[in-house]
Amino acid sequence: MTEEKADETIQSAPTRSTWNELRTSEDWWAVWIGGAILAVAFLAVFFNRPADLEEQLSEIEAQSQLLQQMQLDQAASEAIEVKEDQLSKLRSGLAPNPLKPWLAKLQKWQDNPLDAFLVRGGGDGTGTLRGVFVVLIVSLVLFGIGTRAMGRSFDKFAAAFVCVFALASVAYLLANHSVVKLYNLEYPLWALLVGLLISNTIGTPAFIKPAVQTEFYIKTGLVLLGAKILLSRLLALGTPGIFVAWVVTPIVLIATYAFGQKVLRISSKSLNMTISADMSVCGVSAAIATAAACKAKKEELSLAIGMSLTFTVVMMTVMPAIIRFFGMSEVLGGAWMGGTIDATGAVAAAGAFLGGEAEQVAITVKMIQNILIGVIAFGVAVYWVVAVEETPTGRRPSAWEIWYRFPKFVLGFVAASVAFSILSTTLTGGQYLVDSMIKGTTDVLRGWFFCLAFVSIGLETNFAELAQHLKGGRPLLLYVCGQTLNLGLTLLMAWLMFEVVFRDAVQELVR
Amino acid sequence: MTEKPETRSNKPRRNMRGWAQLWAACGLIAVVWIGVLPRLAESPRVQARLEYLEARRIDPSAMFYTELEGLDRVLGRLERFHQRQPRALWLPE
Repeated sequence: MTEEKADETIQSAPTRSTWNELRTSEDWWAVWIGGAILAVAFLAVFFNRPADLEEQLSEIEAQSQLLQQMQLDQAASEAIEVKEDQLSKLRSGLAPNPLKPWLAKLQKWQDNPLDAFLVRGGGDGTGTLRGVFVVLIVSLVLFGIGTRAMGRSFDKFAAAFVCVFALASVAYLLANHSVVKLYNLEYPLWALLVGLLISNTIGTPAFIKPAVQTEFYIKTGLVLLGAKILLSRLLALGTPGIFVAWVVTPIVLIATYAFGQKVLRISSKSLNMTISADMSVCGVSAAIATAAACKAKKEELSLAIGMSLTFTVVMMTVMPAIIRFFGMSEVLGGAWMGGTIDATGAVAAAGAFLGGEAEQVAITVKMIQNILIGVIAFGVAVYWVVAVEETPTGRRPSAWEIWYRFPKFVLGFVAASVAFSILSTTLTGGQYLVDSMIKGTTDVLRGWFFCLAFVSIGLETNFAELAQHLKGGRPLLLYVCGQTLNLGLTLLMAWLMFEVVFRDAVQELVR
Repeated sequence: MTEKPETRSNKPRRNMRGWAQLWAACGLIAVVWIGVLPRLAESPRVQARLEYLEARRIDPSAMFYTELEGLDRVLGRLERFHQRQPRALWLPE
C-alpha cells in the first residue's frame, strides 16, 4: 500500500543512506544524466567557438554602437529594424553548435503530417528524421543506464522505451499543427491525451510499463531547464520589471495557496500549490517544477496543466480586446499580459497582436517571471519538507531529516541555473555560448523528456481519477479567484511602475 | 470497487470494446487534424495571424522565454538603453 502511494506521486520517498542514494536513487540519476548532457553540450559549443571570437564580438559591439547612434538620431524605424536584423544574425551565428544538426523535435506542419518529419526550418530536408532518431538513441542509452543502476532490467526498458517514444512522437505531431500552436495548446496536453486514450480503452500493455517513468523524465528535464534560468536577465527591465514580476507574483502565489487552504479547504495541499504556481508564475513549466518539488500526484499535475492551458487560450484572445476597449496604452497592456497570461508563447503572441510596444514589454516581463521558477521550486521544496510533510514522531524535522527528505534533483536544477548564469557572464562571449547550447541541444532534449513524462502520466491515469479532483469545482474556483487577484494586482502595479513612476524612461525605451 | 470480477466470457468482449473505442478515437483525431485543421489554417483570418507571428519570429506555443527567437531584438534594445541611460530604469527621476 505504501509503495502504491509513493508511485502515484511526482516524487518518490527518500531512503536513509546518502551514499546509496547517490548510486541508486532516481533523483540523483536525474542530476547525473542532466549534468552529463549539460557538460557535453556546453563543451561541444565551447571547443567549437570560432578562433576570431573576440574580433566578432568587437564587430557586434561596433554595430550595436551604430544602432545606438541611429536611435539617438531618430532614424527611420524601418532602417533601425533592418540594422537590428543584421545584428541579430551576427549574434546568432557567433557560436555555432556542432550538436544542433544531430538533434531535432518534429517541425511545424499545416497540410501534410509528413512535413513534420521531413521539412526542417532552415531548409535542411533530411535533418528532422535523423535528429529524432538520434534523440531516441541518446535518451534510450542514458535512461537505460539509470534504470539499470536502479536495479531494473535494461532489456525490458529498451523495448518499452521505443514504444513510449513513438507515442511521444504522435503527441508532438498533434501539437505541431500550425493552428494548434497558434492557440498555445502545448505538447503536454496532447501527450497526456495520447497516454489517456490507450490506458482508458485497451489498457496500458504490461510490456510498456518498464518505460513508464514519469518522475525520472520530469526530474531530468528539470535539471536541463535549470540551465535556462539565467539570473542576469532578472535585471533586464530594472525596477518596474522586478516589481511586476517578482513582487506581485509571490504575493499572488502565497495568497492563492492560503485562500485554497483556509477558505476553499482544498484537501490536497500539493494540488493547491501546483495550481497556485502555474496560475501565478508561468503555466506549464512552473506547474511541472512545483509539482515535482511538492510531490504532487500525477493527476494533480495533469489537472493544473489542463486548467492553465484552457485559461491561456481564453486570456490570450480576450485580453488584447479588453485592453483596446478600455484605451489602455500598449506599454501598460503589455506589462499586464506579461504578468498574468500563464504561457510564455501566448504572452508573446498576445503582445504582438496588440502592437510592437506591447510585445516588447510583455515578453520582457514574462522572461523575468520565467526566472522565478527556480526560486519558487527551491522555496516550495524547502517549505514542503520543513512544514508540510509529517514526521513519524509528529515533531519538526531535524536538519538531517530535512536533507534526507529534500528532493535532490532540485539541487541539480538550482546548480545548473547558478553555473550557467556564472558562465554566461564571466566567459568571453559566454552569453552567446550558453544560448547556442540551450537552443541547439538542451531545449530539444528537455522537450522530449517532458513529452515522454506526460505520455507516461496518461498511460498511468484513469479518467475517473482525474474527474475525482474536479468534484465540487474547488480547483476551478481556486484558479479563477487566484487569477482575478493576479489580474487586479498586476494591473495596479504595472500602472504604478510603467505609467506613473518610470513613465518617461519606459516611453523612451519602447520608442 | 464494485466492479464485477472478470470472467473468461466477458474479458474478450471488454478487449474488443476497448479496441473499438481506440480506433474510433484515432479516426476522430485523423479527421480533425488532417481534415478540419488544415482548412481552418487556410481561412484568411487564421492565415493572417500565422503569417504575422512568423514574420515577428514568435512561436505562440513557446514554453520558456529562450524559445522565442524574437527575444534577441528585445534584449538588444534593452541592453542599448541601459548603456545609454544606466540609472533610468532603476531610480525614478
